Amino acid sequence: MLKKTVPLLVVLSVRELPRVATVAVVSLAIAIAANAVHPMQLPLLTAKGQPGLPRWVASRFHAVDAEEAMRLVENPKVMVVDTRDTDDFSQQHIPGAISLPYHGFDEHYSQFTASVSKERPLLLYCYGTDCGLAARVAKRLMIKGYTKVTILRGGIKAWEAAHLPLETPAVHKGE
Amino acid sequence: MRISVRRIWRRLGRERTVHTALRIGIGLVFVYASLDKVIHPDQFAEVMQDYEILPKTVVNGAALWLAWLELVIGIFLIAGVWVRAAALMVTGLTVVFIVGLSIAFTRGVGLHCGCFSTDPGGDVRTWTSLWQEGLLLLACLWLAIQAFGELTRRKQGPQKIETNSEAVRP
Repeated sequence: MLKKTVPLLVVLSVRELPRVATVAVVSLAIAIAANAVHPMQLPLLTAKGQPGLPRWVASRFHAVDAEEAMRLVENPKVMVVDTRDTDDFSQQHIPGAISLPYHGFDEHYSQFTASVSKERPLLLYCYGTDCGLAARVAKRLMIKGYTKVTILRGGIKAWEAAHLPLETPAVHKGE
Repeated sequence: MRISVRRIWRRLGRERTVHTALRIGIGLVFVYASLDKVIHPDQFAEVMQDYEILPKTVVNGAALWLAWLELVIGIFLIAGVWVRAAALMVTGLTVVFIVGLSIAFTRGVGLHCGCFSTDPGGDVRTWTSLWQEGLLLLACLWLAIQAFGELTRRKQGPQKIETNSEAVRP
């Protein structure tokens, strides 16, 4: 019984392949069409940049290197935003930065928006070149209405590599 | 009276109501799982990126496709259209999800399952996610076996009759 049934099931499964392929192709076509009209339209292939960044977001914020970021940090109008986890922020961060972590964005956002106006220029950073958290937070902030968003290319690693100053909160200084 | 598990299994397998309930149930699960992904494809792409399985270049396309694939297959199952093909696809997709979750667990990457929600604050990946997917796989396998089993019985039926008719031929 089993000897006959299993090969028959395999043959029948192979026979279903044209339908499987049709469903797969139709789904892909619908996905491409829906993406074309979606407000968060994504590039289908991301040669560079982060996945999940809509075209309009990617085109509106720009990235700067550590030296350029230092000039922005020295400008009192610019708010520096640390998008890493709160534990990492509390150990070390760029001077004057405030914490708005990607993991827990919704919980921290209300406090952030109460103290930072939407017109204020922002400089966002995360761990390193590939972390992508700064870009994700930048997207969320731009959706909320923040328009002047800049990202530190290479994150805090690039900042450290350029021997720029870091702030260590008092509680960690003695450790 | 002896209770035979095999007999109950066979009976359930032939029961049309069970088959229909399973088909619609799995269809609803897939439609529900796809909705948040279809509405927030950008967030789903982020979740997929966190699994660190696919190259960055194709993550957006894969996220868009997967979300709609789940929705379309779910609708096909609920509507009862191309059930065998849809059953094969849900089984295949669930295997892919289990492999993805297992890789993420092994490597310790990614925080969010992305199973039913794309919200980074919710749907945290735990061992429960893997158990859920395991149960879903069992249901999908049963649906596929039932869907094909019906066809197999139909295919095997005339052969038996033919053999019997040959046997009684003088």
